[in-house]
Amino acid sequence: MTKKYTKEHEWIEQHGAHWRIGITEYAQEQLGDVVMVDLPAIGRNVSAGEECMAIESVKAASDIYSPIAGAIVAINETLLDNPALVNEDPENSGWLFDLEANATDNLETLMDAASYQSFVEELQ
Amino acid sequence: MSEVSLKTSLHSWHQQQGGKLVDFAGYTLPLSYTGGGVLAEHQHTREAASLFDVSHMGQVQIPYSDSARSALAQLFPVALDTLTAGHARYTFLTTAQGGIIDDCIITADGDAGWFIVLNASRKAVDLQHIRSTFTAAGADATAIKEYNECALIAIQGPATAKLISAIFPAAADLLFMQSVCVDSPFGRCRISRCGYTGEDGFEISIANDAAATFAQQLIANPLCKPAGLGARDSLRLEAGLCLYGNELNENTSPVEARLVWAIPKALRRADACYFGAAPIAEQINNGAARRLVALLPQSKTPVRQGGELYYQGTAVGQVTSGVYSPTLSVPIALGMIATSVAADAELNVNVRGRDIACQQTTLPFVPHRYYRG
Repeated sequence: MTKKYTKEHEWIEQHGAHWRIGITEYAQEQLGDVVMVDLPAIGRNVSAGEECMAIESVKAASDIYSPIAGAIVAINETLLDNPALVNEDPENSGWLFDLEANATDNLETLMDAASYQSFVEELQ
Repeated sequence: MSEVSLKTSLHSWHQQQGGKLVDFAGYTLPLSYTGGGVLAEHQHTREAASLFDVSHMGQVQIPYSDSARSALAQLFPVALDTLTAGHARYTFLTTAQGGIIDDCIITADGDAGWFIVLNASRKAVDLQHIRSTFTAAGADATAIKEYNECALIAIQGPATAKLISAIFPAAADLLFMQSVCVDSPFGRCRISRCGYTGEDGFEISIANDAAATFAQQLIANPLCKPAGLGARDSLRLEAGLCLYGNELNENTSPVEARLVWAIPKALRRADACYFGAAPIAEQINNGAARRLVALLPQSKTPVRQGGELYYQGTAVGQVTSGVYSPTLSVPIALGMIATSVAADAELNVNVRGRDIACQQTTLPFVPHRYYRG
C-alpha cells in the first residue's frame, strides 16, 4: 500500500499492522516554524475526518484530521521535545501518530502522490 | 470575492527575497521569508537588525494652521503646545464615548505642521473622521494629504543605529520618539526613531522609487535581514505593545487598555477638549470595568485570540493576543478581563478540551531597549 494524501495535507501510510499519519512537505511550509505539537491521547477512538490534534506555530494553531477511523495506538514522542522535526522531516521522522484502523473504506477516496502533486500545484 | 490586494513599492523586492506573500489589511505583504522563517527573523531582530516593509500604514501630512491645531486638539489627547518640532508622540483617535478609533504616532514639524502614521486597517475610517472634524471645526480638510508617494520602512534591532547613521548621519543624534527630515542619496527622507518591536530602531519614509535600492543596500550588510509580519507580531507582543483590532477597538477605552500614560496629565480632566475626555476622566478617577492583563500560560500550549478566560469557573474576559515567545521560549498572551479579578488571581483558558492555567504578570514580557541618550 503506497502513501495516500488528504485535501487537508495529511499523509497516511501502512506501518506494520497499523497506519501512520503525518503532514506533507507543503503543509509544513505553509505552517512555518512549529513550536508545539499537541498529540492525541493513546487509546482515543477517532472517526474519519475527525479533528484529533493540533500543531502550533508561533502565530496560530492548525487542526489535524484523522484520514480514517480507528484507535490511536502510538504517538511520535520525539516531537514533544523537538517539534521542529515536523518542519525538518514531515514525511518521515516527523510523523504524528499511528492508528489501528476500524475501517479503511475511506482510503479509496484519498489522493495518490501524483494527484496530490497536481492538487498542490493548483493551490500555488 | 475580496477586493484587489494592493502592492507596496517593495513588492518585487519581497518576491526576489523569497517573501511568503499574504493579504494583510488590503495589502500583499510578506508573512516571513524563505530561508528565514518567523523564529529566525524574530531572533535576528533581537540580536542584530531587521528590515520590515510597513508601507501599508497610512502616512498623513497636515499643514500648519491655527484652525488645524484646534481640530487636532479635539481628535487626540495630545498637548500640542508641548509637542515641539522634531518630536513624536504615541496617541489615539478617540470616540465621544471614550473608545479608540485608532492608535497612531503624531510628529510635530514646527511651521510645516504635523505628520501622522495610522494603521492600514483603519486609515480610511481615520481619514474620514479627521476630515469631518476639520470641517466642523472650520479647518481646511482639503489640506490633509495622504502620502502615497512614499514607502515606510522600519529597521529594528540593536545594530540599527550603526547601519542607519552610516546612510543618514543625522540619525545618530535622534533619541527615541524624535524625527528629522533630511536630504540623502535616496532623496528627501523622514527618519523617525521609533518602532513596534521594543528594540532601538527607525522608521524611514522614503520615495517609492528609492525604496528597493535602499532596502537592498541595507541587507547587503549581513547584520540586516528582511523580516515579515509574523515576526513583527511576536516582537510587538513580547514588547507588550497593543495591536488595533486585538487589544484596541472602539469599545475599549485607553484606561481599560492601560494607555493612560499616553494622555498628558493636563488632559486627564472631564473638561479637556478632546473627544471622550469626560468618560475617560471618569474612568481614570473611578476605575474602568475591564483591564488589560499580561498572561503567562503554564503549559507549552499557546492560548490564542478569542479564547475565553475563566476565574474559578466564571467567564471574566477574553484573550486578545497569544503567541509563542521566541525570546522566552514559552507562550505569552494579553487578555482583557473584569477589573474585579485580583491581580494575582490565576486564570484558565480552555484549549481543545483542556484547561490551561494562566498566571498574570507585568508588561513588557521582554524589556524595551529604546535609545534615550
